[in-house]
Amino acid sequence: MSSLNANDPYGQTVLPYQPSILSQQKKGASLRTTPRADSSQDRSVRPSQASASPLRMSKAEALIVVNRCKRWLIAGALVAFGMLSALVAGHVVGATSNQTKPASNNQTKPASNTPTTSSSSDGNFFQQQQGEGYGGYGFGNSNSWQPPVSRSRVS
Amino acid sequence: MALETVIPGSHLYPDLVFPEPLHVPLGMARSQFRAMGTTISLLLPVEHLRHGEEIVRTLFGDWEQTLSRFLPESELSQLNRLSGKPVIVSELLFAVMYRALVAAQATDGLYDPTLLNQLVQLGYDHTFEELPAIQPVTEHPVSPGGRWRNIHIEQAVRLVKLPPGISIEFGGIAKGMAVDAALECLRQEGIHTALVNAGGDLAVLGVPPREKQWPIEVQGKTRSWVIPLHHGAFATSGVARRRWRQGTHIRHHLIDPRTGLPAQSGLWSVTVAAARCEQAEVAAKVAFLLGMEQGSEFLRHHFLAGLFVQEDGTWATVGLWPGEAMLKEG
Repeated sequence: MSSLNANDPYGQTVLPYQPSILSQQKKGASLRTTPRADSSQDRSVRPSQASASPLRMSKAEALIVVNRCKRWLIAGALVAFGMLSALVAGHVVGATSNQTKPASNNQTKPASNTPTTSSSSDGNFFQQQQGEGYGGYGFGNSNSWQPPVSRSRVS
Repeated sequence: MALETVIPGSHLYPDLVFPEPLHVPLGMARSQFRAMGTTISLLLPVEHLRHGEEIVRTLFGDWEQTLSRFLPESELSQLNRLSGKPVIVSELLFAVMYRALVAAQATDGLYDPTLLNQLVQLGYDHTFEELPAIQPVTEHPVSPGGRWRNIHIEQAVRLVKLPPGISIEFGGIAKGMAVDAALECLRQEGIHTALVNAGGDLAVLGVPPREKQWPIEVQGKTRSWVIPLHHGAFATSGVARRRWRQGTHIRHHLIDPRTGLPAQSGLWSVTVAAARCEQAEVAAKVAFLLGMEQGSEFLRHHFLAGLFVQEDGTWATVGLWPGEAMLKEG
C-alpha cells in the first residue's frame, strides 16, 4: 500500500535523491580513461549537459562562433595591415617628394594651362576627334588663290 | 652652298623660298614674340589682341620655364639630373610626359622622347642659335633609342622615374601641345577666332571674319603652296633647319631611334594636317623617319593628310590634301 505525502499537491511519490547513471558513468570513466579518451568523452557528454541547462552553448555552436571570430579576426588583420601599408606608402611618397621635388614644383599652374592626362584618345594617339569635316581637320575652298595669313615650315 | 661659308648659328641651307609678308585678315591683328626657342605668332580679333596675347605669352613662358632642356633650372633639366630616382613632378610636366609616352607607344617607338643623350653626342648640346657650325666628333658610338619603355610613371601621385642615365627631350610634341593649350585657353576666355603658330607648327580656332578658311603657306624646298585650312592643325618636320657639321658628317636633329643617328630617309620635309597640333607634330616626324613609302602608309592608316617633299624637290600628297590650285611658285 502506497502512502500519499500530504505535502505533495500532485499526489506523486517522493523518492529519495539518487545520482543519475550518466553522472556515475562519468565519474567512473574519469578514473579509468586517459585524458585523451576523457576529452573525447567530453564531446559526447556536453550536449546532453547543455540540454539539461539551456543557457550553456553547445560545442558545435561554440565552434561556429569561434570560426566566425577567426574570420573577423583575419579580416580585421588584413584591413589593419592595408591601412598601415597605405600610411607607410604615403609617408615614403611624401618623403620622396620632399627629397627630389624640383623647386619649380612649388609653382601652381593654372588648370587651363595644363593639358589633361585622361584624354579619351589615350588608346589611339592619332584618333581624330569628331569635328567638322574629315577626321577632325578640314580644308576650305582651294579654287582661288588667297594671300597666306601664316606659314607652316620646318622650325 | 659651300660648307666653308657657313655662319655659326645659322643653318647650312637657308630657305630657298624667301617668304613674302603675310596677309592679315580684316578685323584681325597679328602679334609675335620669342619663346621655346622659336617665334610664336598670333592672329587674334583686334578687340582681343592685348588680352589674348597676354594669355598666350604667359602660357608659352610657363611651358618654356618648365620644359626647356636648355635652361638648367627648368623642371625638365632637374628631372633629367635625377634620373634613376622617383620624382614628383608638376601637373604640366607630368601631362607632357604622359602624352609623350602615349605617342611613343602609338608609333611603336618611332617617336622617342629619350634621345637627348644621342642628340648631345651628335653635337646638338646648345640652343641652335648658340651652336657652333662645326662640332667635334664623338668618341663613343651612338646607341639606339627605346629607353622610353623603362620610364616608370604613377599618375595618381604624378611620380616619374627615369631609367638611370636617361634624359628627356620632348622635341616638337611639347610645342604642339602648347599650341593646342593656347587655343583652348583663348576659347575659355571667350575668344573664338584665333591662329597660333609656334615656329611653323600651327592650329586654328574658328575662321576669320568674312572668311571661310585660313590660307596657310606650306614651304617646300623649291616652291611653296597655300593650303586653305578650315579647322585643325599643321606641322612640318624636315631638315631645312637645325643642321650642323660634326667632323665630316652633316647632322640634323631628326634622330631615328632605330639607329640613334640622324634619319636618312631621302626626304626634305613632311607637312601633316591633323585635328590637334600635337598629333600633326608627331605624325610629321614619324612620317619623315619612315620615308616616302612607309610614311604615306602611316598617314593613311591614321586618316591623316600630308605633303612629302623629297631631297630632289619632288613632292607627293597623301589623303585629302588639296590639289594644285593654290600652288605658289617659290
